[in-house]
Amino acid sequence: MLLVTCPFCGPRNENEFVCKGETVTRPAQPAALDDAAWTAFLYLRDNTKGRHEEHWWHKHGCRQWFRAMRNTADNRFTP
Amino acid sequence: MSGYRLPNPARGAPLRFSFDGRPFVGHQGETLAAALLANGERVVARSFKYHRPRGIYGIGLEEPNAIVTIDDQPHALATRVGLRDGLTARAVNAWPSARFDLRAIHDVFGRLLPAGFHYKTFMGPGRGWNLYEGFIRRAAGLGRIAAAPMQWRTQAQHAHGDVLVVGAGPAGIAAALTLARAGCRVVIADDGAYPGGAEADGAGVLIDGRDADSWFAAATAELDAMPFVRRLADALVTGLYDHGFATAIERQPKAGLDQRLWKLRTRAVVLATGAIERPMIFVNNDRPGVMSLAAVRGYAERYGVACGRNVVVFANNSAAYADAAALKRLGVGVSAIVDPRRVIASDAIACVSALGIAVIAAHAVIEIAGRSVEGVSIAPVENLDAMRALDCDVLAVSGGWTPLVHLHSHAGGRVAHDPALSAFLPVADSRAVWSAGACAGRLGFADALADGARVGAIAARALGRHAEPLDIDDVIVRDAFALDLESSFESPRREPGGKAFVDLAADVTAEDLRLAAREGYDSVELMKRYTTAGMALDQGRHANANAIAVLAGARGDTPGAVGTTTYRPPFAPIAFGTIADRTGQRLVPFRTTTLTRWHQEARAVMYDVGGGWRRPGYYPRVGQSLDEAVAHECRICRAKAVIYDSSPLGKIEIKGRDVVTFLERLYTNRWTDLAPGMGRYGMMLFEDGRVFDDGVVFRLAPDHFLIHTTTGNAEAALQRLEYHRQIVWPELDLRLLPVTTQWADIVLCGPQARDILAAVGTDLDLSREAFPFMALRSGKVAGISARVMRVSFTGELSFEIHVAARQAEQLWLALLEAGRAHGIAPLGSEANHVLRIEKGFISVGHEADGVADPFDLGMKWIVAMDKSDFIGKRSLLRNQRDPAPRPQLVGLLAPDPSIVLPEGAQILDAAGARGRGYVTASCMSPTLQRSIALALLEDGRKLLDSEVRLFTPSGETMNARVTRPIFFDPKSERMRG
Repeated sequence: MLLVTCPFCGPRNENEFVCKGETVTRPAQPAALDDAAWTAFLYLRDNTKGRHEEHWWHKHGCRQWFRAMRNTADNRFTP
Repeated sequence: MSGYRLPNPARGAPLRFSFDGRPFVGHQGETLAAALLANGERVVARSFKYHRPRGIYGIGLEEPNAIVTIDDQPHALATRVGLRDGLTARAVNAWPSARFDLRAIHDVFGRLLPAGFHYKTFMGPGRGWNLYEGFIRRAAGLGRIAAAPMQWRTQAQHAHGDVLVVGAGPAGIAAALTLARAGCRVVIADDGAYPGGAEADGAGVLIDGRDADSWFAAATAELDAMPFVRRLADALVTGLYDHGFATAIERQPKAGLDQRLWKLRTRAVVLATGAIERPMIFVNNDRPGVMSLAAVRGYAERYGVACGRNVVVFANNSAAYADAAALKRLGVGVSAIVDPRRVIASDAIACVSALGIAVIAAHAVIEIAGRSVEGVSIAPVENLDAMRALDCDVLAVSGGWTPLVHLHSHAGGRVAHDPALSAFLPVADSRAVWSAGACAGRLGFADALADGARVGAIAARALGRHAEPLDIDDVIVRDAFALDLESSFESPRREPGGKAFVDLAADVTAEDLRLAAREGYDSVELMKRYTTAGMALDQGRHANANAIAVLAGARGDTPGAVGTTTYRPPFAPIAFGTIADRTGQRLVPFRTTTLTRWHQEARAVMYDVGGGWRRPGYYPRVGQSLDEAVAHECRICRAKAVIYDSSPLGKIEIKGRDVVTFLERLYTNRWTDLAPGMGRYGMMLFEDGRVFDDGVVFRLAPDHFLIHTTTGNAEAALQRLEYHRQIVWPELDLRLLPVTTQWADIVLCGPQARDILAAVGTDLDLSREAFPFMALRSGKVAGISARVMRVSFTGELSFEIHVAARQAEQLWLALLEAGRAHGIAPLGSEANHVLRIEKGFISVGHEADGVADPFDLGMKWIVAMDKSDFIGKRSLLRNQRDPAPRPQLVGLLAPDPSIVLPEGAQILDAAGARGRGYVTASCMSPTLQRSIALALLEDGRKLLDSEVRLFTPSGETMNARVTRPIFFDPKSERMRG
C-alpha cells in the first residue's frame, strides 16, 4: 500500500488513485507523424529502472491529475 | 523417560483437554505444547513426507513439528495454542493418531522418495495421472478442513503513528521507551501476551538491582500510561510494505472476536524481532526428544515443565553453556555438554563444571539409535572409531542463532553474511527502517537492551526529536558468555545412508541438498524449489541458515556467496477469513439504485454487472424459466410498453466556452451543428482507433452538454475527459461534473409509450412534431421535474426520463400505475440484450470488443474524417491502409431456427484450421420466432449470403449463413415515430 502525496490533498493511500503510467506528451499534429513515430507514441515507453515520471489521478479525492516521480526499484517518491 | 512437572506452587487452575482422542490435564497459562510435555507425551506429530514420529522441538514460532488441528481449525502450532478447558487437538498428517500412524510405511520406502522425486516419477502413462493424483492428494497436505462453516469473527483496524516498534523484548522495549519519552507517537507490537521477549530473556538478569520481570512490568506500565503509545499484545507483525505500512494479526483481541487485522502506517519502523536457535545436523536428528536448548530452558523457566530427566546438550557455541547452567539450576537434570569445538572459553567450562555438568569437547553426536531419544552415540570429531553411547532422554541442541530479518527484507532491505555469527544480518540503508537487538546480531540481554536504546535514539533524531539516554546504569547478567560460534556444524557420519535432517518441517535432509547441487540446482532459489527446503509451514525459519551452509559446503563456497532467497510477506500464515470480510455482502462491493428494492420485491433475478452495479436481469413470474421470462418481456416491449431502470449509465455534464472544440477532439462525431435541445449518438475511440465507448450526447445550451457513457465505462470516461482537460489541453475553457448518481434514468418504451406518458400527466407536448426523435425536453412528468429524451436502445418508441434520484421510485410507481391498463411490464437486461440484437445495435464489450474500429462495425457515418484531428483518427487512417483483412460486423442465421449459436463460437476459415471471427451476441428472437446472432468476421461484408462453419466452445461444429447485421425494422421507423 503505497503512500502517494497528492499536491492538493497531501499523503493518501494508493487506492484513492489511478496511475496512468509513464508521462507521455500527446503529439500536437498526429497526422504529421509517420507510422513508426505514431507507434512509438502509442506503445513505446522508456520504463526506466529507477526514477520514473508518472501521471496519477486522485480519483477518490480531488479528481485532479498530477505528475509524480517514483523510483521503480524501491517505490520511493521524490519531489 | 519423559517430561514431567517441576514443583511449582504458582500454577494456574487445572484444565481438561484432549489430544488425539486421549484426555489430559493441563493448567491455565500453559500452551498445548507445554502441557503435552508435562504429561510425558513424546510423539505428537508425524513428519511431512516420511511420516516419521516427531516430538515437540521448540517453544514458539520456530516449532517445525507440532502442527495440530484445534477443534475445527487446522494448522495451529501446539507451541502457540493457549490451553483452555475442553480443548480438543489432533495431530495432522497422521492416521489414526501420531503415536500409531499407518502411513509410516513411507519411511520404509524413504530411499525412493528423496528430494525432487516428484519431478522424476509419475511421468507415465499419462492416463494414470487420475490414479496418481488421488494417492498424492491423500498423502500430501496437512490437516482437514471442517465440513461445516467455521465461526471466524474478524475485524480490520487502522492505526497511525510516528514509529512502529516490532517486538517487546529488551531491545524493543528499550527503543519504545526512548522514543515515547522523546515525544514520538509509538505503536509497539509483540507476538506474546506480555512484553519480555523470548521465554528465557531476562532470566538471571538484574537491571539496576531489579530483576527483569519487574523492570519489564514497570516499563510496560509507563508505556501504557502514555496517551500516544499504542501497545498491541498477542499481535504478530506479518508484513512490512512500502512507505511504513505494516500488517499485524492480533489474536483474540476481545470477547466475540477471533482475530483483528491491523493496518499500520508509521513514518519509521524499528525492528526488534529477535533471533531463533539453529538445530544441529546429524543422523536421526529428528527423533522425539531432540529439542532446541533455548526451548528446554524456556519450558522450565516459564512453565515449570522439565522436558526430561537426563538432558545432554549438543552445542557448538558458548552462549549455550549459560542456558545449560540455568537449566540445571532450575532443577532439571543436565549431565553433559557435547561440543565439537576444541577450544572453549574457560569461564563457560568453569560455570557448568561447578554445577556438575561434564564438558565433552572435540566430540560430536553422530547419530541416535531407536525411534526416540533414549541415548545418543557420540565420538571424537576426528575419530569415529571411538564411538560410544551416552545416556539421556532429551538431547538439547544449539547450533547458533539466526536473526529474524524477514520484515527488514520484505520492503527491499538487503542482508549480508556475518562469519562470526554465521548468520545473515540486516544491512542498513536509507529507509526509515532500523534493526535492533538480536535481529541485528546483538545477542544477549544486556547488548540487546543497549542496542534498542541506541537505535531508538537514532530513530527519534530522524523524526526530528531529541531522545535522552535510557536511565539505566547497570545491567548484570548471570552467566553471559560470548557466542564463540563454530560455523554451522554437521556431524561426520559413520556410514553412508541415514537421514540427517536440515528442514524438519519439509523432511529435507543434508543429502537432499547435496543431491540438488550435484544435479545442477545449486543456486539458493533452485535448491529451495527443487528440494522444498524452506517451503513448509514454517517457511524454513529453523532450517534456512543450515541449508545455506550445507549448500555452500557442497559448492565449495561461503554462505555469503550463496545468499538467501527472497523473503516475502506474510511472515507467518494468515487465515483468508481474516483478510476477507466474512459477512459475504462486502466481499465484492456492489452498487444499487433507488429502485433496487422495488426490483427485489418484484422478485427480479439480480445480476452484478459492469461498474459494480447490481441490476435486474429478468423478472420471472411463478414457474417461468429464464427463456420464458425474457421472451415475455420482449413481446410486451414490441407490442405494448415496458419500463426499465437505466440509472447506472454514466452521465457527465460539460460546460464552458470551448466545450464543442473539446468534444469534437474526444469524439468521432461533429458537434458544432447539434442544435440545443437535440441529441446525437456519439462514439469515443482509443488513440489506436479501437472503439472505447458510445452513448448519446445532448446539447442543453450552446455551451452546455450532457454526455452519456456505458455503465461499465462511466468512471473510465470521466478519467479520460479529466486527463485531456487538465493535462493535454489545459488551455481550453471548460468544466466537468459527473452526475451519474444525481439523476435516475427511467426508460419507458414500446408502441404505447406515448399514451402512457400522457396518462401519467405531463406538461410536455408529446406529439411527433413537437418532440421528434433524439430531442430533449424539460418539464414535469407525474408532477416531478424531469428532462425527457427520445432515445431508444430497444428500437421501439422510447422516452428516457431523468429525475432526481430520490424521486425515482415515485415516478416508477406512477408510470406503472398509468400503464397498467396498457399492459406495461418491467424489462430486465436479458430482454434488453435480445431487443438490441434484433436491431443490430452494437454493445461495448460485445461487438466493440477492444479490437474493432468504427469502420469495422459498419459505422462510417459516425466518423467525421474531415475534422482536422480527433482521438483515434491517426490510427483509423492507418487501419484503412491495412492490407490484412479487418473484422467486420455481420449477422448470422443458423440453418435450424431453433438452435441458438453459442456466443464466442469461432468462425473457421475455409481450411477449417484457423479462426477468422467469432459470434459476439446471440439469442432466440421472440419477435422473429427464430434464433439470430451478430458476429465479427474478417471481410464479412464480402461474404454476405455465404455459408460459414463455426466451432463451438463445447467442441461441435455447425454451419451458419452470413447476413446483414439487422433483423428487425431496418429503417427504424418504430423508434422514430
